Amino acid sequence: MMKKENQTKLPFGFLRRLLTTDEIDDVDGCFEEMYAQMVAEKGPGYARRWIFLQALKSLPGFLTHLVYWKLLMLKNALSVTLRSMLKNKFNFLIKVFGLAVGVACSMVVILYVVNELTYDIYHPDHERIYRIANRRITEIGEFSGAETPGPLAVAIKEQLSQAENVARVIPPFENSKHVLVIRGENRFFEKQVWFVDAEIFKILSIPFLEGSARTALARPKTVVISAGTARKYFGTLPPLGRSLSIELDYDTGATVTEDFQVTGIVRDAPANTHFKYDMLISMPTLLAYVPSLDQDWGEYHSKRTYVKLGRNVSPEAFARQLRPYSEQIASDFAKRVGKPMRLHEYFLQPLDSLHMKSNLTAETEATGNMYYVYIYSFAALLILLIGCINFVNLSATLAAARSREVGIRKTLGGSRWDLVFQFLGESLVITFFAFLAAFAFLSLLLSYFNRMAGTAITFQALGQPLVLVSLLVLFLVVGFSAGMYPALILSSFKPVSILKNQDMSGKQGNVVQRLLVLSQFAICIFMVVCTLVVFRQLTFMKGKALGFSREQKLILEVKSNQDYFRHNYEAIKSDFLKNDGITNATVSSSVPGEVIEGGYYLQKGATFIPRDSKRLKVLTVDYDFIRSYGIAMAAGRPFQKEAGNDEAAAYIVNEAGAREMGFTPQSVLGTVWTAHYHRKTKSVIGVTEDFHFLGLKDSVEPILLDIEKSLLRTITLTLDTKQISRALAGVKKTWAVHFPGVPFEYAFLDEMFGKVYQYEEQMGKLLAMISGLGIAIAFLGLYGMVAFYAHQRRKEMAIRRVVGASTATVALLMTRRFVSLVILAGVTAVPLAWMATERWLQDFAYRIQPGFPVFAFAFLSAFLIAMAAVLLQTFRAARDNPVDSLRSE
Amino acid sequence: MKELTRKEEQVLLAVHHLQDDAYLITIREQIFRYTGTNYSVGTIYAPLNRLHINGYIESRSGRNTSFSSKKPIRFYRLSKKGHAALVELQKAYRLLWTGFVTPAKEKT
Repeated sequence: MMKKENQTKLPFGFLRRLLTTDEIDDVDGCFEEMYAQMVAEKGPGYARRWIFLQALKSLPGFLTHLVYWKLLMLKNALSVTLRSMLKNKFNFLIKVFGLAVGVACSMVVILYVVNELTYDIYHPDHERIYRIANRRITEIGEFSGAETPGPLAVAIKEQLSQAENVARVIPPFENSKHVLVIRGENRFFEKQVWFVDAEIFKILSIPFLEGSARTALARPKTVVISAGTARKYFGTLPPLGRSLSIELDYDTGATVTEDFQVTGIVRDAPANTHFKYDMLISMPTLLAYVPSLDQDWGEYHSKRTYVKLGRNVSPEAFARQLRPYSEQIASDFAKRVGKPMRLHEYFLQPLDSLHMKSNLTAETEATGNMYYVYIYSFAALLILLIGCINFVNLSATLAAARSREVGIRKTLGGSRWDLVFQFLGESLVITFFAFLAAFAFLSLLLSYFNRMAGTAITFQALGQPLVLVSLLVLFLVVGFSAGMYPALILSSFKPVSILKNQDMSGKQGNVVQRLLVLSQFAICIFMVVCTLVVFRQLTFMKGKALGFSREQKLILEVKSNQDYFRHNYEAIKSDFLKNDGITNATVSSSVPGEVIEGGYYLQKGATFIPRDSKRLKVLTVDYDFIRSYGIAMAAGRPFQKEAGNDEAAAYIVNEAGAREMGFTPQSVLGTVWTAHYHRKTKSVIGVTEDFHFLGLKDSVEPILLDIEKSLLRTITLTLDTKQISRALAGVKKTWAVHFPGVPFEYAFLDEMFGKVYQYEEQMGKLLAMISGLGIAIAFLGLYGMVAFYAHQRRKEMAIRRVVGASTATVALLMTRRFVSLVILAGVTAVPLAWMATERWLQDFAYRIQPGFPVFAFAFLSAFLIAMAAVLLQTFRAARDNPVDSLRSE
Repeated sequence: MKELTRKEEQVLLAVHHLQDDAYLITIREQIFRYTGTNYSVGTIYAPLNRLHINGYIESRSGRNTSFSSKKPIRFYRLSKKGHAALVELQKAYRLLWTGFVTPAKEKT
């Protein structure tokens, strides 16, 4: 019997679901009785078939009924939504605007994050591709570089079958960042020029548009160029087979300018690869000049090796196979230097981790920074939150006005969930409008963001599947999170109390709304504090004396004919000085604001042994450098021509340098040192005061000033303020005399130095924009909310005024509760902001202490803006003629 | 007064006969017993519902006492309007049937 009951449970339950509530009352018992009868008369099997049939029969009717009424209700809900939007235009516009701004910011950040995180995953089989890097610890120190000796790739190719492909990527040595390329009148400095093994095309995805990957780079003096580069030099001409003249420095003592045949055109490198290329030159070209490339295991400089492992080969196992080569290197080193190498090892870096996770020396381009990904995401999240809060608050405020609609719907049989879905749908419709508006904002924001963050994200990037999915998720999350609370509030109203005209604003709802307003202003205060701190830190860093003068300095970088420059710099300098308006000229290896590459080693005494050497940054200069840059001396004297042989016998260090060497500025004078990089022995004749060569982010580096030709690279001219344009014209002429055919490019030190704080400036600007937008949205939201309350309470206000209250009293009455909200917001936000900014400031060697004024200012600005929003409305409401408010009922 | 359909008539009469025990199942049985036609439940429910909407019968919610599960059941009873309608019907039929003699061995 039990079993049979179970069997009939299904159709009975089914029938019950299909029938409306009334019908169930009518027929439920009947069905059961009929069933029992049928069991008695015709047997249980028949009865069961019958009841199933009954259920089946009622299905079509049920479905038409359902679809018909749902559609009808959808149409109704849509028209009600539109009507309510039109009726509360201002409210609607604020909601859409707030959401749109938040969504647009989020879109930008989504694009940015997707771009950062999808680096190099477009290469087929990227999970099998690795770059080989090495770590070595010697007497001098520890190195980790994305560099390998040249022969490693050859050895892997010949001896290790587990590597499917292996290829080297090597920049031109001396002039890697500025290779002069000439075709007729077209002369440009190219930055992304590489020598590559042809096998690179089997490892990385570099699709050929013309030419063939197999043969293009087989011969010397052949080059494969990107489509963009081809347009630049050849315009509409077919480039294949034509030639380009390229000036290269093979580190053999002189630069060589030769004609290269273009043997292939490849697609431009996408934005999200760590290996950007404009020109790829065949490896045989390099081998012709540097035959030791395939043999010299001791030379690492910037030679990258990429390897594609076979299927099922683990990178750890492969790295183990590289160990014998490491040991060979270590023993060679021990023989050469007389000291054992403490550690030498190769390790593999997965291709897709190179952008975000690798930060070695000799990276092919500046690596990404998770720090900024987090900060930007967080900022976008905050502004999205403010937009959503606006939405929630304004919708909840409107709830009171729509309570009658809810009452009627409920009375007519709408269930709570019907209402929840209706209002959720409404919020999705508004979110949809917000997304439309956001796309309009996006085009504005994107160009601004690209300029700030130095990215090249395009509108087309929106088409990526990953981005589309994130946008859909964003849409649903925003729509639901913004709509859920108002929907729950509205649907919770009891029809009886609504229709009895009871107050619907509801105490509980108010608490939530006030909390939301509070958090909105807390976020605003938080962001304003962050913005202020960033800007104050920037002003502090820019304003603090750096220990050298950077006004009116014109910088000329010698990128071509460097040998000529190094041997004739005195003559070149004096030629420049002959022009009007130039008060000073000096040459040096770097100028302030540039990172001094590497570190060089100094050994006390007359010979160089790696042990016990000191590491200092080297700045090669001439006699005029210290005077020209206005660097003050702490002890001793500057370089002087009159002294005779300063060039051969004198070093100058800064105070940090003296400390690094283990002396005081006084006691270091006269000590004798030998430098690793040229093996010359000189004595210290002077100590400069510390100057902040790289700004104030890091502490002062120990620097050695040395008069030495070999590293010279830049000319610094000090201009007379009054005749800058004339001076420039003269300088250009002199340049053409000494460097014929080399494009004249110049920069002002001020501007170059500005780049030192580039990231901080970017962040400051971004924060300023975000907090500006955030405050604007919060202001509008509060304004809209207060407008509504003022309208709701206008009769109360009118009566108060009739009874004798002044405008101010009435306004104050409305304002009071918002004042306490903003104060509470300040109390919450200030400690959080303090913690966040403190964390950020820790990274600076020289930093401000954000004191009371910063927090007070942030708080006051939020307070005043909130007050403005409230008072604008309340005064209007309070000033209205009471008669107008009371007349109509 | 609106005219009732044949089936409505039958249902109305059945409800009248059944007095306090009129509900879907019993009505169907009653009609079967008198006319010999075995209508499906749906065929009965439609006129029943129509009569109810038009106010010929009144209803009350009850429990199915004859059945163990005690599921809800709707019982029906003639309303005043329903009663009046029957009276009128009878009057009309009486006039209409005047003079008609039942032939032997025939039954409707």
